[in-house]
Amino acid sequence: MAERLYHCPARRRITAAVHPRYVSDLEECLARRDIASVFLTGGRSVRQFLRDRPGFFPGKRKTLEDGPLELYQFTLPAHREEEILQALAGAAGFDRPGHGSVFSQPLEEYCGSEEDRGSDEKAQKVDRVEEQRRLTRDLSLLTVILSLPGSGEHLAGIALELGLCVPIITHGIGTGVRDKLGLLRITIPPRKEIVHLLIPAHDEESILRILIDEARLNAPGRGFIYSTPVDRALLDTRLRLGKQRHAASIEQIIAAIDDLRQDTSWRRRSAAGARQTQPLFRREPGQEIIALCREGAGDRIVSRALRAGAGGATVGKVRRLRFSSPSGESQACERVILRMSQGRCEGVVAAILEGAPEGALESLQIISSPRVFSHQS
Amino acid sequence: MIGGYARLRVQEQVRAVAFIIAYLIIFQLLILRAPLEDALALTLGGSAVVIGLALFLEGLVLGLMPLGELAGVKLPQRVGLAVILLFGLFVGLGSTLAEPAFAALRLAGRDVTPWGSPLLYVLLEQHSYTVILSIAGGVGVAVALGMLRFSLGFSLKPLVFSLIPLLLILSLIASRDPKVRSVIGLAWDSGAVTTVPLVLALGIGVSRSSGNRGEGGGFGVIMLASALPVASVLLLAMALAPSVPDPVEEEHFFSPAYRERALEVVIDEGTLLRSAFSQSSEAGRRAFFSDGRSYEETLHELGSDFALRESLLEGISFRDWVNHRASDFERRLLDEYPLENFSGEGERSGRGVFSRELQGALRAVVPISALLIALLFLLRERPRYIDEVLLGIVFALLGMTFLTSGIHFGLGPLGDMVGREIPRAYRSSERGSDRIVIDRFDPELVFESISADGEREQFFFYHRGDQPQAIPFRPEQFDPHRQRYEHRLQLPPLFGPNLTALGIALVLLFAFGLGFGSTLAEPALRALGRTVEELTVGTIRGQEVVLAVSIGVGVGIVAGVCRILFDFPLLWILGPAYLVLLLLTAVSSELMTSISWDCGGVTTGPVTVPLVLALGLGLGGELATLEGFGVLALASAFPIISVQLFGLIAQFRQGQAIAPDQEAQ
Repeated sequence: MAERLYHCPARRRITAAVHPRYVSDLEECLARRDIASVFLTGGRSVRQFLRDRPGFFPGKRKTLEDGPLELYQFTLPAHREEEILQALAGAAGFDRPGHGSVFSQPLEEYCGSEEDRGSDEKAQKVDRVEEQRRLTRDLSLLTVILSLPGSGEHLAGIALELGLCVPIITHGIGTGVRDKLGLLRITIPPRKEIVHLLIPAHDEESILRILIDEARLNAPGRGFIYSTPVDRALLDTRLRLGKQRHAASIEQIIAAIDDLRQDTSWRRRSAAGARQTQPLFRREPGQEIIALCREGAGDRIVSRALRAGAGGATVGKVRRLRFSSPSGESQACERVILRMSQGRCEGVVAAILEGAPEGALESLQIISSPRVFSHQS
Repeated sequence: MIGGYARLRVQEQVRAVAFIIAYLIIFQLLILRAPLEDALALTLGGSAVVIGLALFLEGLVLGLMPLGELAGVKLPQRVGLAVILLFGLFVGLGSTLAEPAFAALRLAGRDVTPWGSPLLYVLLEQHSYTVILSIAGGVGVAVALGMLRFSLGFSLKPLVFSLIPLLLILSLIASRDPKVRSVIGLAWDSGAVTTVPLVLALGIGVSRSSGNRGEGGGFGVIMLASALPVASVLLLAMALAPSVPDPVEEEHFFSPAYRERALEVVIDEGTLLRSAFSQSSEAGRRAFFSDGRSYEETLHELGSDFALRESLLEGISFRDWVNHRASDFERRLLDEYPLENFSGEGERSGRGVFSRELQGALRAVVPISALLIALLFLLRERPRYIDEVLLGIVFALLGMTFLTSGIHFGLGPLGDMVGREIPRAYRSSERGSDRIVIDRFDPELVFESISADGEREQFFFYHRGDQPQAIPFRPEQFDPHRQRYEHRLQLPPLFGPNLTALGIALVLLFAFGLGFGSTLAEPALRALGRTVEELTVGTIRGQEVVLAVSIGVGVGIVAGVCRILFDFPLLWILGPAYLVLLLLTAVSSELMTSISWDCGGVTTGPVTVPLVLALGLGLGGELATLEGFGVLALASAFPIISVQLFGLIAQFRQGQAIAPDQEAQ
């Protein structure tokens, strides 16, 4: 039903990953700010836990600690970005460590209904938030889609070791290569772990290099990684749990310097343009396409997209919450994540818009993605 | 590719099963110091269990669970609430009727006597179908109620708070009636009989697609499916109670004067006779026959007629019967007959068992999958990978067959073996285990020995293999006419005559390990663990849930064994345990509440039940308590506690990420 979807070239997608304790604050804030509906996924955060060794053993033991997260995603017109981010930060306390992260990404969207469009116009009445927080710029989002069970935890450990950010992990079902195998596909676990990492944009290449190396993404069947730009963000700085020995953790200090300098380029680890013999990844501009649809329509969309030239897809389960109705109605939806090179994007978008079942497609989001790495490529 | 895939699955199961097998073997060999019988069958059985588990779990993941979830997702989108409820009712009924675990209840009722607990006997023997139906009805209503809950999105807690006290009150009323009292154990155990993974998947589907945000996320149905049958069975028992005679003394029950009333409990005279032989003692048997002559004649017949042996002794071998059940008088009378059955001793053949288990698996898997497939057909939905689903169903079938036959050959006998030996650990006196008859015994071989204070004792040397062995001579066992000496082998108590506290501790330790280990291998629980992990995106690990449940089951079985050992009413433990539970439920989160109450229903599956019952029956039979029931009920109450505690700990841990700045505010 392409006719019902409106093409909006410049929108922002806000992703808020919040500790379940602040879910109600966040939702209340969203409803008050006229956000008509959001897509909600469950996820988990991974943090390092430093604890004393048991008994009289000297030293510390480093373990990984999982925590629950709720991921809220919604899109809005670009001019409301700052206002909503500030409001959310105030409501759920994203500037305090451990509450979660929030970030916005620029995107092109085919969005569903009149009501989303309506909120564009309504948005003129902006009541400013008193408290202004400096939002971090110059970040980018690495999305790692991993096939081996448990490898998400491993990768998260590496990211924490590098002091990057608190990794956000969600689940999805992979399709693509698996379907070409016939019944033998049961030997490949369909469940994928999707790790989201927010990293300084200037350091993207060197971090990609480290992650690819450490997570052995250059071996077949491990998964792939790509980056997408982030406009503004407020990061969770609680990378480590356990006893705190200083007035502020090192991550909080880094965040404060980011804040003062207004960018992250000072954090660069590798000398720019140093002899990098052969880049592991392709600096191949492409797009990340995300299709959000009613539960059950995902298969159709995936098969259309694959036929139109997409390499593979990852389908995750989300629910759509509508704040417009008083009861907080929710609906089961699916999120199809595709990443493809520039040339194929238009064809795939057209195929999805054309082939999606009647009224099932809620939103189609296109975000540019400058770098990608996978074994097959 | 297939090799790697299969290896991964098998490795996982080996890890799951290794504990219980190693534990049993170590217990048998090192602590009880008894030899392993039939090691080959045990090994084959053990590997069959591993393969069966791997296949069955893979089958669940590939076939049954996606099918259930798809049906659950599609139903609310297509049809009204009434149809969903009706379908839930059918699924509950269908899955319970096909459930092979009900056979376990029959097994648990093996030692129920028609005179001691007539109502229980009637329920199990005459009305067993009514009992199954009432359980199935309870499960059906439970599944329907669960679907209603997901559609409307209300919390599980009010249900818990209303249902559990109701059940406890019902049990309390039942415990005041001497007739119904005996059924409480059965009722609480019957709650545990359900097909878990499918109901789970269905619930997850419905809860996903319904328009609310139920926090339970698909859990909670199994709790209902375990609780409602308790009520329905208790009510059934109360309804039947007036028509059943009161418990009476054994001799009175079998006496011809009482015959009329006895036949209200036992169907016909043949069954009554069988019960006299397989369950009663000499007094009961004597009472059955009007005069002593026909009693002795029947005994002689039993000795000479192999077919009669099988029909009268109901699965007990003649050797065991003579050695354990028969009185001294009867043993002497049957002396001349061979102990072995030459006719049908080898009927425990592999193929027979395998085909029987295959039938059981077919009954359990096929109807329910057919129901789901028919439903999807009606809704005009097809699963994404039909071949995968079909393969999954075949896997589940084969897996279940392998698993149950493996248990039959491997784990079951191993458990039985240890279960039989374990009472030695705390018993203070010796017990006859077997006997050796020495023909052409020469009294001249008897010597005398002397102790420090001058006490004399007679003994002789007997050799078995090359080792001569000194055996005390007891004149009363020597039959001078036939030149025959009967030597009874005595198993010495493990810790000397008076050290029973250590023995009891050992039994309890064993009980804990048995419960813990067998639950680790329980497939339905593992499926539940995986589902929990998936639903919480890995914040709660499946393995942790399985561990928490296993510990809970271990503790529950220890409690159950304590009840058997010290013989106090079931309600004394069940009551406080459930009170603690209600308290915990009040403070736990909705998700953890649902998960933990479901865990209680999952614990009793194809691996745990035979092993735990073997122990319960072994101890119960030894101590002449009523029956082995109730252990299962406790085994499902305690995991709920342990999982909720685990949930609270997890909640605390998760709160740690934000706790420090809470103080700063």
